[in-house]
Amino acid sequence: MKITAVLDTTILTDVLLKHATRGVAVRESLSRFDHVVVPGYAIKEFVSGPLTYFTWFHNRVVTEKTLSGAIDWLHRLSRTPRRYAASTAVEALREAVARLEKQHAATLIERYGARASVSTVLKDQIRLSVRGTILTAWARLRDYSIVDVPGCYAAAELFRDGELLLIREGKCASGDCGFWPVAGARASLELLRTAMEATSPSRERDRRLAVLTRLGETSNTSVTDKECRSLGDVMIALSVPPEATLVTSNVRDFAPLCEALGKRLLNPY
Amino acid sequence: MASRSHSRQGVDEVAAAPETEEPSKRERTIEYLIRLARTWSEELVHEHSSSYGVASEADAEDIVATVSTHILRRFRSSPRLPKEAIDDYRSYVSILTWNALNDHFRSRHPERARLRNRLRYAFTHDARLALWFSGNDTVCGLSEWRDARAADVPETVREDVVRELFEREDVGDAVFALFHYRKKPMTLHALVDFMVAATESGVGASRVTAVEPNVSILESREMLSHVWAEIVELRPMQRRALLLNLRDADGSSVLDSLVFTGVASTEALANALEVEPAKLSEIWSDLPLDDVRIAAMLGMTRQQVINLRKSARARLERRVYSTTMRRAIRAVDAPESSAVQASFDPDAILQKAVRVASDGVRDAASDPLSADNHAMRLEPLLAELFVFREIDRGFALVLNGLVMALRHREKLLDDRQWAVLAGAIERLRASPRLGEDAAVRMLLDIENTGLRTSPPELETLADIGRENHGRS
Repeated sequence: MKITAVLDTTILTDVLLKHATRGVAVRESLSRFDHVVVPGYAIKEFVSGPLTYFTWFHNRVVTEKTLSGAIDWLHRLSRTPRRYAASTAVEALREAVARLEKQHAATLIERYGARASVSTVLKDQIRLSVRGTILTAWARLRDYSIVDVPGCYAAAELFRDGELLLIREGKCASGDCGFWPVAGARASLELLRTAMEATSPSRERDRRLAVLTRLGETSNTSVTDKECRSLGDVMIALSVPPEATLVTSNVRDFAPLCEALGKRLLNPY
Repeated sequence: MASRSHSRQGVDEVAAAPETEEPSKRERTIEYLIRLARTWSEELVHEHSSSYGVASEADAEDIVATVSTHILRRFRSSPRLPKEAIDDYRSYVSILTWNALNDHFRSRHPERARLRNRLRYAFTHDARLALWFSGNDTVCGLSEWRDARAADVPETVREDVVRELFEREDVGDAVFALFHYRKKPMTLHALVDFMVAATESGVGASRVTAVEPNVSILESREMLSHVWAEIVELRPMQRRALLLNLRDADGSSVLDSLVFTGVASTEALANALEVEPAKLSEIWSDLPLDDVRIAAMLGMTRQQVINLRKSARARLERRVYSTTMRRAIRAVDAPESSAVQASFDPDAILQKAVRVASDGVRDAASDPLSADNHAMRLEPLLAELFVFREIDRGFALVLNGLVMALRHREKLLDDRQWAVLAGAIERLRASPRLGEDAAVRMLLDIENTGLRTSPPELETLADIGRENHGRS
């Protein structure tokens, strides 16, 4: 029998956008499986989350006159709820730029003038690196088998507008998503609700629980776009086929869900 | 809408309020002035959204945010406003908004922006032409019309006239011919629209794209001339076997293009094919010919025709390649200093890089330390080549990936990694304009050997929204 691994959003992000670091450990873990699949929901989260951040920053680098102008935009995010990770990204980028700057040969500027100046070269190196990461991630995404493909994922598209890279995401019509595994998983929904009730309260958990309760109380299993987002990990857990193993670094959140559904879980780190 | 007197008062207040005094009052005043700036900026952006390609509310908001952020920064960085802002705050906001609109236009429509710049240059440097302002419009036309008002967007211009117009090699000549035909001025914006529309209809495609250094018909024509010169130099049988079958990307005979662009006359083609012009006319509509028919014409076997053509192509590719690189140099605007220009040769660097990489491939398995010396030689060559990144998007993408792969290597490169790097460099040399899709495939190959093609710190970008997702 084939052994199947199912990737959650964090692992998918590590494989696609952190290919040379965390992705190495994941690929090593995955090598013991015969088959790797990705839930459509994880792709939806990946596209609207990490990939969108990359394209946003790429476009900022394209449109800003200087690299520091683009990094300033990241800095502005650090005044929003995204502040911690944005600050980390700002610091990391500054480190990267400082390191690249040190390696820049002054002789090139003497020889080629403005086109080899530190600021233009660094800006283009960062721009092209981000662009390359986005385009290769998008290309790799096509190599995966996808389970439970939502209609809104099928409509997602990465396209070029001049130098810009843009994502066109499919928007799910409210309550009109017939795909989701919730439709055929009423018994599982009840198990998940019970499991969630036993976990510590948090805003995310409470939202999820509210949707599960609503689904349990009505015969209507269609979910709105907002409910779909609230369900989050529940959707991924439901997409794990029988006998498959969910690969995730988010053990804390997934462990109770997988336990309730009798599914296996593996942390590759 | 806020009045001028209000703005004046607010500015005076800020200008008069030193950083250390009454910070809360100063903050309130700044807040008020930023709101004012946003209102004026929004009005301007909406008024000119179509001219500047502001396609969505998000774009408009981006522009307004850029302006208000700029002003806020000025307020915060200095206890007093710059003099120009104090004298006329509204103009100050307008200027910043125009700059932001222009930046947006350039970033979203780089080709139109370059076309507009080229036209602007022609109008300000060609004595026959002029550029002037009429109200809020920038108007252009013949110099004797200076200061006249612009007529509306041009009426339909006959296709043959447009074609003739766009065949002119100089932008100044082209627009002079257009105005000579129209006999009235127009806004610069309308002229850009007209030229772009002509491009999209296909009539003026070649001419409009001529302002783009990468796809210029001048360069295409020049390239065709170069190819033609090389074809003429081929041995007669090779030349005939090649020409009779030579086709472009659409499958049409290249002979059409040679005649259409004026690179070669039908007589010259007949001479090159060693046939009478009448005979050439007879077969013209059948071109390109298949090998059986060529073989019959030349009195040889089909295989001989194929072999002749193969050698002709190989020779042409070798000779024409150097021209591609020369075009690439021109596309990145070679420096003026002749001393530097002489050494401004990406192909020479690529050639050297190919040699060093093949040394790396040779030594990777048997002598890894020598191979690492080659990696150290290769890195500065690729860094130097990065100066030519404008050659092509795909070229830039792969080159950057190679630079990063060498810069961020954490151990000695193995033979598989060397093979992939060497293959990529050879590919860059063979076809520098490889395009972005091919470049992505090459990056995947490089990454699949375990090399990284971007700085590791960039990975933190994946997490900038993590709090929102509530993931650990």
